[in-house]
Amino acid sequence: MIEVVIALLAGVLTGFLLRKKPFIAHMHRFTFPIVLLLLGSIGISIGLNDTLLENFLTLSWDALVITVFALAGTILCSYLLWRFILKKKIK
Amino acid sequence: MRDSIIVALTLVLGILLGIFGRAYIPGDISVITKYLLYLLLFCAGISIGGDSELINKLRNTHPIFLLLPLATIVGTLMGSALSGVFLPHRTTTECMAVGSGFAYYSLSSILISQLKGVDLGVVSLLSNVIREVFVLLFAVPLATYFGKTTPISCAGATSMDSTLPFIVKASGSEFIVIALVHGILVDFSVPFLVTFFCSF
Repeated sequence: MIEVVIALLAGVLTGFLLRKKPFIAHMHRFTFPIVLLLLGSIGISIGLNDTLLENFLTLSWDALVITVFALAGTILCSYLLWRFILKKKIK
Repeated sequence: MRDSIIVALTLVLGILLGIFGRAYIPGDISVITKYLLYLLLFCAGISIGGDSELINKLRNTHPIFLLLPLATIVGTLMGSALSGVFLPHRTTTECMAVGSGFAYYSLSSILISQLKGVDLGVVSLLSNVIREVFVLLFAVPLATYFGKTTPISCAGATSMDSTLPFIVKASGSEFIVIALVHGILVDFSVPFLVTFFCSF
């Protein structure tokens, strides 16, 4: 898993060193096809996996529950920060 | 919008290929995806490191607003940890790994599929898409009832790109820089937090 962090940090360093090069601003054009290839391969893994397809409803339920709680926590923290600190800085 | 449609179509195409074309697919494609993932992370890193405006954006933001990404991360992680109580077949750290996507569904679902299996990867994909759609639909009431920075927090890593126009509409143009800085910082935390919570 350390490879994940190394790949990202190597990218940050490369980006910083090459920040003057014009192609840096158009990185999206390079990354988008990679994202598509990866999501396509996730799609294939989903399609190949019969148990996963059968459990799709359960997985959707898990996703919904996690998202509802994650958003509730986020709204709570963000609201408290806004109410007691940030609101005064904006005015 | 066009990109989102292409992304959705690619995913559906992949699923159909997996179901109907399984005879033609070589056994294990995870080796290829692993190296593609590293390449994606490397490119994502270049975008962040090469953003020469980043320092200026940070300088123009009142330091107190740097608490916002922190509130987003703490709130999301607390909430997703709590969701584990209601999902007995999921561990707390699995739920936190899914929450750590902060609506950045492409990278987080790919990472989780690689590190924890496609099962949790699908949960992550759905969860983070729901989060993004939630902001697109409810940015205005969020700003009205919970403060102008709340749509930014809910948008997570997408507050710098796909949800930014909706945030500006809901909170006002004076929040553009705050949303950008928030997006960049939360975006940067995604691979670290996802990898961390997948390691348990």
